[in-house]
Amino acid sequence: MQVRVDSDLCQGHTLCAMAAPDLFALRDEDGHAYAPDENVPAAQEERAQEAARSCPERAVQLS
Amino acid sequence: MVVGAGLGGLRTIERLRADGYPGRITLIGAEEHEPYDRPPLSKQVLSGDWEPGRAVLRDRAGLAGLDVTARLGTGAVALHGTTVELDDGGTVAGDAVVIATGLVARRLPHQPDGVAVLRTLDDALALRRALGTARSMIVIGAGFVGAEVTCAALRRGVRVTVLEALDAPCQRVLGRRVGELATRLFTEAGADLRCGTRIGRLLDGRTVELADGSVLSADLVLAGVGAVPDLRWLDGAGVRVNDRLACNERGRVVGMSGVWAVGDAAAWWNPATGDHHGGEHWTLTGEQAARAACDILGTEPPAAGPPYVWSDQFGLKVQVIGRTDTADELVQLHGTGLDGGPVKGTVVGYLAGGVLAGAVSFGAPARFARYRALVASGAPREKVLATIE
Repeated sequence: MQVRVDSDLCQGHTLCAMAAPDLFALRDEDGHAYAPDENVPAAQEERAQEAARSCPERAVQLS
Repeated sequence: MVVGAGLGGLRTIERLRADGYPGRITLIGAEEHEPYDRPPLSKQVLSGDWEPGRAVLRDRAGLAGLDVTARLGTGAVALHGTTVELDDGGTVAGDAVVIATGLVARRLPHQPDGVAVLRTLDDALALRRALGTARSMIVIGAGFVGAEVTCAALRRGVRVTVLEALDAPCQRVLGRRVGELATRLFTEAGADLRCGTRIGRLLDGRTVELADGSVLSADLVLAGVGAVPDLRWLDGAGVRVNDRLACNERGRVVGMSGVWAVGDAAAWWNPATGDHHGGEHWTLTGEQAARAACDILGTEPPAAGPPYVWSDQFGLKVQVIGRTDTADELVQLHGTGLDGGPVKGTVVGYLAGGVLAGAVSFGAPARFARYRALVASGAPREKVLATIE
């Protein structure tokens, strides 16, 4: 599984980082999230799905 | 069986299927629309940035993918045990019923039909059309919806008068002192905000008589005075409905068997605060849906985070985390808005008994992010203050 954050959709709610703190980092200036490593470890897949569900902008994309 | 095809109902079904529920699922939705998300209605949909289809959470093909029988455009009119009676005369029986019917716009006494409200997708599209030709508007109620509509109207060059009964906008959420920051957002953007204004009656779709007898009129009037559950269909179901449906901490409706409730129509028992609390929080609805689904399945529910809600208004994002209504002390964590400085960049902490219960940010999402964990853990004052440095 891979995860990425669509930076055009992200609004800085930071909910993804709450759901999966190991998968997302937040930019200091606007709270926008990004995935430092797009590859999701198998043990983190459920958290990645939770993060995608938690995003009000549907900016967290899994593939 | 899930009654209510909004966020709560859909998330319940998604969780049931994700965790392997094999049985039949029927989704009852009073609106014809596919399940859609409400926050964009007063934001991107109203502004015209989004076409309405983008607010859809799951289309009919997506529902079919969940193996759901969707009966959209069909309302529930009665509940007998775990059998739901529908307005088309049919009935649906299930082993479990999840009530996720949400809220309807609150109406003022004798509200004429010509007065706009904003709760549904159809409301948003009607308001968007009306804003296209209006030159003046009266917004009754300066809550989040009132603020977002005011912004959309001002951006289209419409003159806006905002009538608020309390002393400050969003006072129930923000409190009196932080509400002053919201006051400045309205007035600095050019809205004519009149707080402490009581409505006498609505004369027609364009005319408002105030309690002092004066009369205001505009091309368009919006009643943004909150929303309430419409649970009249449960009369006679043997449940005591006190505004919202009282549930235990797993979403089971008190006094009923085999019936759960999630989202804005429900007030779940909160063991930490010792009360039944209904939130109107987007995140809370999703969490309740997951927890109720797990309770139905007998699986371990996910951990709950603090409730979160946001509003896009006047060019910045207002974010609210946790509970602000229990606070007995305010701390300005960032910025100088409470001292008369810029509203943007101000973050305020709400302490209850020396513990961080909630926080509000005005256009400072990056700084705000760290307080989520502190609210979740119930951080004491010293720890909160140490975080600022």
